[in-house]
Amino acid sequence: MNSLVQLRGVSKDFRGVLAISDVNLDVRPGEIHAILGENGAGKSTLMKVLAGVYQPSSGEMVLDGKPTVFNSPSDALAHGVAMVFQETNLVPSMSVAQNIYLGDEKLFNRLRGLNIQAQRYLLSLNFYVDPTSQVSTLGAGKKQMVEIARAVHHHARLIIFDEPTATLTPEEKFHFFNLARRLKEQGIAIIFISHALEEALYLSDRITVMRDAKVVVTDDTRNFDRDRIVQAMVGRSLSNELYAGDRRKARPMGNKILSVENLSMGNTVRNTSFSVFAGQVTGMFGLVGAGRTETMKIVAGVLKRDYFHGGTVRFEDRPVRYRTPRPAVRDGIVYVTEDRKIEGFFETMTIASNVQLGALATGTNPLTMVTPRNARELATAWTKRLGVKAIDADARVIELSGGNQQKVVLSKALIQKPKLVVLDEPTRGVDVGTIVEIHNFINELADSGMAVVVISSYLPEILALSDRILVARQGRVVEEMDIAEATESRIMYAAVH
Amino acid sequence: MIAAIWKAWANFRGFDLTGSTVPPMDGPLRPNAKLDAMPVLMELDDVDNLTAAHDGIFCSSGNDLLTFSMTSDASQLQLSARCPMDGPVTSIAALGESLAIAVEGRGILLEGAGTASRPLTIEGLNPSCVTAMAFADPTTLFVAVGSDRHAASEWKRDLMTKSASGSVWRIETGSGRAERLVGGLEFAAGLALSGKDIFVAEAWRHRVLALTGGSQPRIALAALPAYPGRMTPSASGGFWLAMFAPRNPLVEFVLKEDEYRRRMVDTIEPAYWIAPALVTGKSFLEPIQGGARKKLNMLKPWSPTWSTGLVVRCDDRMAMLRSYQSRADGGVHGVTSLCETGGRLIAGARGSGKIVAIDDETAA
Repeated sequence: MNSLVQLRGVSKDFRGVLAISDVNLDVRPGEIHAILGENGAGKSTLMKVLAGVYQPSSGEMVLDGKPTVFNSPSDALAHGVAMVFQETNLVPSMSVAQNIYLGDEKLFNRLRGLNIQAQRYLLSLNFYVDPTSQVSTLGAGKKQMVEIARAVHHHARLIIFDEPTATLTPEEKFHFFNLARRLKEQGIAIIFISHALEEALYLSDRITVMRDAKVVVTDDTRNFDRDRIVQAMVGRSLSNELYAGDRRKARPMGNKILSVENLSMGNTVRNTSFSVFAGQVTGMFGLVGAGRTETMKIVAGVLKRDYFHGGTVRFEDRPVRYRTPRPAVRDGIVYVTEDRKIEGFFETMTIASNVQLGALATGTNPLTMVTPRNARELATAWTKRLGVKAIDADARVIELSGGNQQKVVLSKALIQKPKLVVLDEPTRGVDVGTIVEIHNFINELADSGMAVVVISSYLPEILALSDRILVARQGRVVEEMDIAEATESRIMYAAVH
Repeated sequence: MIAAIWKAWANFRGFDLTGSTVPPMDGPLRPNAKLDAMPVLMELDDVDNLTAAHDGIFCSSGNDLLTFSMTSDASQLQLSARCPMDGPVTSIAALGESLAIAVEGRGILLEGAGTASRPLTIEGLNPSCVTAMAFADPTTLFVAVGSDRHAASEWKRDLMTKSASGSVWRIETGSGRAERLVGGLEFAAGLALSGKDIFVAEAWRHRVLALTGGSQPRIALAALPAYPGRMTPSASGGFWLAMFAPRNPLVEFVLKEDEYRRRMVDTIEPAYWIAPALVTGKSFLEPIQGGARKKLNMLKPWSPTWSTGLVVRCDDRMAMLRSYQSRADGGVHGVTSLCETGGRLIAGARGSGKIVAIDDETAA
């Protein structure tokens, strides 16, 4: 069959780090093509290259048999390639009709006419969405419908969905599957990225599995089963080189320091329960949308759980409900963010100032004078302990490498002398050498009796660090494993089934 | 109005009034079916108070005091003697040739080498609810009293009426001098001695306390997902703890609904209460044992787990190490008594009427 789009040897690197490497992919008209892989496998980057968000570093894209380069998403859309992102790109303060026709406005627009036109159009797609509704009032499923309607309106021949079902209810998922089939019947090609293997097996015609920035296999869906997909997703060699080592014995469990009971927050954290013990590293694995980060953010007071039926969090056998992180820090819970650039530090401030800000959150009297010299000494002690490579504590954080920035974030957290530290993706965007240093440091923390929770999307990291592994799926911890019994396949199986 | 202000205050201060949640069974309490896999030494209705003594194993079954010995291949228990008592036996303790037997309504009876049994009368001690006893030496007996208001067999009523009148006593058996070490406990259900520490299981507060000298009780284990009961020291160090029934959100909810609970206690037979049980499935009138039944991926609140089998191995500080469980669909429920003999733990599941042997060395 003729291909609609072909990628030939496409690679994309970000400052020398390959996000996708030598990828070949073809998409046929009227097919549903699922792209599967672990977090960080390169799926989203590949799709963004297809949708014109990124331009490939090497290789070529062929559209309708002609080599093509998309300079922007609007350029891609003009060529019939649209992407529906996980976080929708709609303007929340505008109506559904205005969003559909955004960019297509005439010189003089009659709002009523626009609404009638949108209503007809939406009905033709069997979308029951009120065109006059403000987008911010719509649920995730309806927002997605609007986004799809906008793509189809622009005569898209290929629609790319990034995790389309992650935020949908079961009923909305059912509607989405029907919609995908209808679009397919109209000859529109669909690519969807998903972590739900059963959805891929149920809906798609072909499946491509990516691992470590490369396409591992592309085949007809009928030739796949769950086990083959999981095997293709996790059977890596590169990681084995990085994280190889003898399976160590788990540290003995200390006292139960944290007990999370039936915790709920909207659609993201759903009735989850688990415990964390002192003196151990508890690894938390799950795919995107599993609710790991949100769960631990609720524990640390960064997010609030539902007021009614929101569950109970007990820290050191005492029920707690933090509304801000400050009381959590005072009690001894620290959350180290996965998004250090946004939430982790002030990039234009010095290392000393950032570390000092961490100390301030511990309940130090704000009237206490802290001299720059004191702050510098404190920061110097921590930078030495963690081996931050900087000229001195007066260096600005923006000038540091990703690994050293992460060490500053760790210093800022650990200066608060926590009893429970939650490290969310502690080695994301960090070079290999620093990964080893951070891992050693995490082990030291657990050896000293601290309770450490490591949230990671990278299985080898979970296996290398954890004494006990919790696997989350769809907002809930669904499986607990000792390190002695955990394998990549077992963890992945629990995460996707 | 006051309730609304109280709720607002709770929200402001950060404590939780709304939750009727229970702690998860994970870590050392990770679900397993190891207790079901253990060899059954004997089936005996209403088995309770297993106690290892120098000349065999004592236990009770209703009003009878039984003595057992192990068969030569240690695969079965054989009955040596049966002694009917004047009421249900609620607790037994043995040390050397000293034996203490608590009988509901009668109190504590003491027996020594070659001496006839004599009653021990202690002023202020409820003779109907002696739940656990342990000898520190042949003349010093520690006694746990579950409740001052109810008999031991009315333990569900004690939970539902929140009497909080349990206590721990130290008794000189020779002189009959008694000292109340601590009171106001919510059903002291188990007792174990360890050097200077006395560990006491406070069932309705789901915790184990450590009493040391005259100081305030220290919490050794807290926020347990089940009701802790009898404990026994292990020859290899540490302790064994039996938890006789699981907690569930529905019971926690009922415990917060005072009016509902009052009416339930007044109008319904205790066997059919929304309350924990040693075993379920004996009558269709009982609450459904669903083992957390799921429908459309939602846990059904009307079918939580009411009974289970749970034996926990603890270290010498009472920190939990591992557990042996019989889940909702298992057959060794309501473990109320434990004793060690011949290097094995013998557990009596009063709910299911079974005595099983746990070989920790091989099973762990």
